[in-house]
Amino acid sequence: MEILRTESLTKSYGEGESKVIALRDVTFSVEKGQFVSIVGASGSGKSTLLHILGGVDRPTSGKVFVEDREISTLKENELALFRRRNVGLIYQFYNLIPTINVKKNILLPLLLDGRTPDMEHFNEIVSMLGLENRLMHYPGQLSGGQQQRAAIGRALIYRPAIILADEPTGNLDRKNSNDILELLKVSNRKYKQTILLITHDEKMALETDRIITMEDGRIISDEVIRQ
Amino acid sequence: MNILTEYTLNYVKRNKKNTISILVAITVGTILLSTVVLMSYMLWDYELEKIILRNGNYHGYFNAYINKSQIPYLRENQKVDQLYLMTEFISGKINLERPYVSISYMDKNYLDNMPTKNTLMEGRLPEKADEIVVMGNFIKENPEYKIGDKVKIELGYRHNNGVQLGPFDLLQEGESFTKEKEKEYTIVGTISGKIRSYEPSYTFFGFLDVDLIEDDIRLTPFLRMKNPRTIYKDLPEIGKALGFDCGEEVHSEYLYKAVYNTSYLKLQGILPPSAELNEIISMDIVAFIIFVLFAMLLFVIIVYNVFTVWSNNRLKQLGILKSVGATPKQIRKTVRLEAIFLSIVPIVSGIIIGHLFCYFLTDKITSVVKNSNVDIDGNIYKMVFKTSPVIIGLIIVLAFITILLSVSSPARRLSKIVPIEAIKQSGLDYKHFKRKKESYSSRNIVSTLARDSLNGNRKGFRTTIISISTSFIIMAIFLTAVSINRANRALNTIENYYTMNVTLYTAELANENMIKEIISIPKIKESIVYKSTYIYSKIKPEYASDEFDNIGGFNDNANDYYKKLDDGYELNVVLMGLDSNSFDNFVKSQGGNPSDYYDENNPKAVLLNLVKEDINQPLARANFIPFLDDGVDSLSLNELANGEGYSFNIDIGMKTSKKPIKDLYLMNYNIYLFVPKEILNSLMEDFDLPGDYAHSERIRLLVDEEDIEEVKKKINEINKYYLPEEDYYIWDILDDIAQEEIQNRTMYLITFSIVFFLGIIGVSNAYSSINNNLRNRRREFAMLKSIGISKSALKKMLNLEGIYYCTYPFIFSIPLSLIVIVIFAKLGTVFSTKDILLFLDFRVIAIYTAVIIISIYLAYYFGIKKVDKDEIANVLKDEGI
Repeated sequence: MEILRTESLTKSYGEGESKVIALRDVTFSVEKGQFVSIVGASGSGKSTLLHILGGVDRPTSGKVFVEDREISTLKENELALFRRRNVGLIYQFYNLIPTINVKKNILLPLLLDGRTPDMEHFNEIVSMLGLENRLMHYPGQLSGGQQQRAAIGRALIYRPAIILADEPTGNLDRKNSNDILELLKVSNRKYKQTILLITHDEKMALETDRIITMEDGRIISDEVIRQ
Repeated sequence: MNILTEYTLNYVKRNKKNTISILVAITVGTILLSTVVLMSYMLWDYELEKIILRNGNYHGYFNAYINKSQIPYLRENQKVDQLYLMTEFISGKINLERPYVSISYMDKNYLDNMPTKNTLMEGRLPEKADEIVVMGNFIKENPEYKIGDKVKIELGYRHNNGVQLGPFDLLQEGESFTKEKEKEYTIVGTISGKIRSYEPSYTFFGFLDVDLIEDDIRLTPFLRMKNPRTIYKDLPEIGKALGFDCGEEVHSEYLYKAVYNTSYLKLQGILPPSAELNEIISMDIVAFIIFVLFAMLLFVIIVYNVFTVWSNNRLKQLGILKSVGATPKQIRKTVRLEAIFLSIVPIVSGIIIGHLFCYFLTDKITSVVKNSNVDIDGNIYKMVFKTSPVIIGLIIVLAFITILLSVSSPARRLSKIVPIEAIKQSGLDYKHFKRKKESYSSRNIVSTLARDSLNGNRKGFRTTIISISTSFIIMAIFLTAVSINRANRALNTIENYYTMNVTLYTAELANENMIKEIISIPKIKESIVYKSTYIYSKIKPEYASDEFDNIGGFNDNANDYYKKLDDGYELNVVLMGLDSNSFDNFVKSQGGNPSDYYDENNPKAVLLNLVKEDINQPLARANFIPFLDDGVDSLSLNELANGEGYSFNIDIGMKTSKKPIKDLYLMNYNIYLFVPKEILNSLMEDFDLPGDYAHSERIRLLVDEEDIEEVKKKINEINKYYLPEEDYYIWDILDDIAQEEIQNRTMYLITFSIVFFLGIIGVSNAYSSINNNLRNRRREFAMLKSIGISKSALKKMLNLEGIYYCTYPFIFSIPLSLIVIVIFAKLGTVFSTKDILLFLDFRVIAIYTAVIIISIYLAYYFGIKKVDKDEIANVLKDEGI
């Protein structure tokens, strides 16, 4: 079942001489439960594509459908709710809120909704992430790996349809990187979440189900490794 | 606690250092707002006190009498809060210096609340039915009486030929008095009050004991209502119930003899239903609203700028919140919450400091006035510091509203920003980045870097430049008004020749012996005595002189100076009667024969044939030309406008361009005629409505400044034998000098305060935004250092930026201020731009400019010091920057 689809997605910045086309006419789709990696050189448009899919950036033209819903034309409020409930974004530099503790950082999407968290689900995620003893700490008091785990927790808490990870291990050492990948795999297998992962690491890419290669704002190859 | 509230609170707590600029901004803004609201309140309160002192604190009364039997109805009426009673005036015979007394009785409520109590000079007010207070002149004229003495009065009524006379009627030939009873009173006090020498009765006030009065005595009821807001409906209803005649008033609120303490009610926002729009929205209210809005605007400018900078500092975090799913509404909420958290302490401190400032300002003004011993006009000189919980509450509400207004724009902007842009934010405004085709050479790289950095941070500094410019322009507006005031005093005020002026207020001819005594005082070098009457003349267009015609002559357009008639114009005429000595000397000096002017049957006048060539010129530059044509040898005059009243013709014996009274101020387009005083007196005998002070005279004296006090004392000694104190007024030039001195000092106090506030606004804005900008660019500076820029080159780059920010605001604000001055000059018409610039206080502008420049310099100085200290690697690694 198709969970995500783009149609002629284009993103450009600037005008005239300084115009930069980050995405050119990108059309592709992703099946539910797929673990997709997106690779390519710097400036190929990977992050731009991910940000548009996650609703944190708007395309210049083209359409994006997530669960058959066109998100490219959603109003600001609706887009905010989409980001909160339907997608989980993980960044290379964690992007936690420094002035609230780890527990609240993880629960943030639920709290923004004014909902009472399902503590069983929360504990399960925290246990999976190995953050039981760090919940009352602040992001500044954690190591890089721990911060990224907290960021993953935040991305998972609402059980979103899609997880979008933009080089989540880019700032981590080998061991932490492997751990993070494992967590994403668990999330993919256990919660049947569709994951799109941007990475420079070839080895990491090969651990995923499908590799999309981008260059110059276009998809130049799309290889399914495992069914 | 809601997550956003918790997040906002935590953020504020953890960033205390960075909040200082916001706290200062809000405190300054609140001080400004507090000052405006408090000063307005104190002025309003002073006005209210003045009205209560003058009128009393009743809400309404009836222009008709009630009797004793109607008192319970009023006392028991649900709508009436308090009732004050005063009887009609009753005549009494006393046979002292004056034959009669007019006595009225007032109950305790009346004596406690109405202005009578404020006139008490000595002793106390009456508390029993056999006690009275007397006007001060009673004791003066009958020194055998003093406080504590008893006086017997025959109470009854005056009449003449079967007609009853009122207690205050002038003495009539053949009148007599019928006694009804005799009463003895004890004098318990004296009160001040005006009484003319020709009035036949003394005024006494007694105590009204309602239980002891006769049934037929007539009383005026003054009411205070429980709900004064409905008085315009309730009072006529009460009047109707009391059986008063309906009357024929057009407006229902004035039916049934209802009369209101209108000024008192108006000050409390209670207006009659028939009030015109300009009464409902009076100039005072409009002025107050404008001042408050103006203060709020300045407040918004201060807070907007610092808040924009403050919010930009956490753009990234707000971007993260948005990416996690915070809605635009939630983002706006957190920004507003933050504004409220940050505002609480500075609003409280701002209110306290604002109160202290107003207290010291009013204290300083009143002590300046007190030390000078001058009775100066203007409420601002007499205000007393006052506040109230309602006022404090109002300031708090206005302050919060202003803060929420200030942050609404940054909040909206932040809520709309695309999340990823916020997360990646570099603070640079690429949209407006100018692309320049230039080569970077090693010689100009530092200045190029400075210019490019300014280019990229343009948006961020725009609000600072706008706020400094706005403060400068506001200061310029204020200083322009002050300059016009100074120009007016220097250029448009007549230079006094005579240094003293005695004005005698009299309804009958002044006592010539008194005048003779006054002008004979040694040390008086020169004197002139005159009286004026203001009448009208119909002028034909051809009466205009050639010179006057050449500049347009009489104008058919409506103006303030004369009226167009079907066949001419009606002009104001000032007919002045000089003492014979001055008149004769003047006519002789002009080559005329004074005796020609003393024929009562054929009155003749000297015409001062002058008119201003351009009425928009100040006096110092005014050129006067002949007004009427040489051929005009007679004028027809009317006592009243529209050809009404007594009319007569007057021949013109001569025309002159020399003023008989050397420092006479000439009103625009008025005709000035001079006759001997005795001729004026004979003309005025035939006037229909001479008016209360028709025979008032002025004695102008030339006295050396050092002799003024001595001469003043002698005049007072002479006058006390002829006139009560209230009937004359002495002005001297020293009063004007002292008054001007007070006004100058007060003006400087106020100018200093306003410029001080504006200075703080400019300084805090400049300092905080530059400080923040440098802090946010630490990474950029660390990067430059890492690639080898020297300390001095970096310093030079930042100094160049500083020079730009010192000059840029003034590049806008100086020309705009000049435009403001030109607009003022055009609107005012009398003073040119050159005049205004001549009297502008450039010192203040220079000080303000210097303070702004120094604050910008200091912001860069301390910023550079910090950049110097930064460790390159630590800054580059720090994700928090």
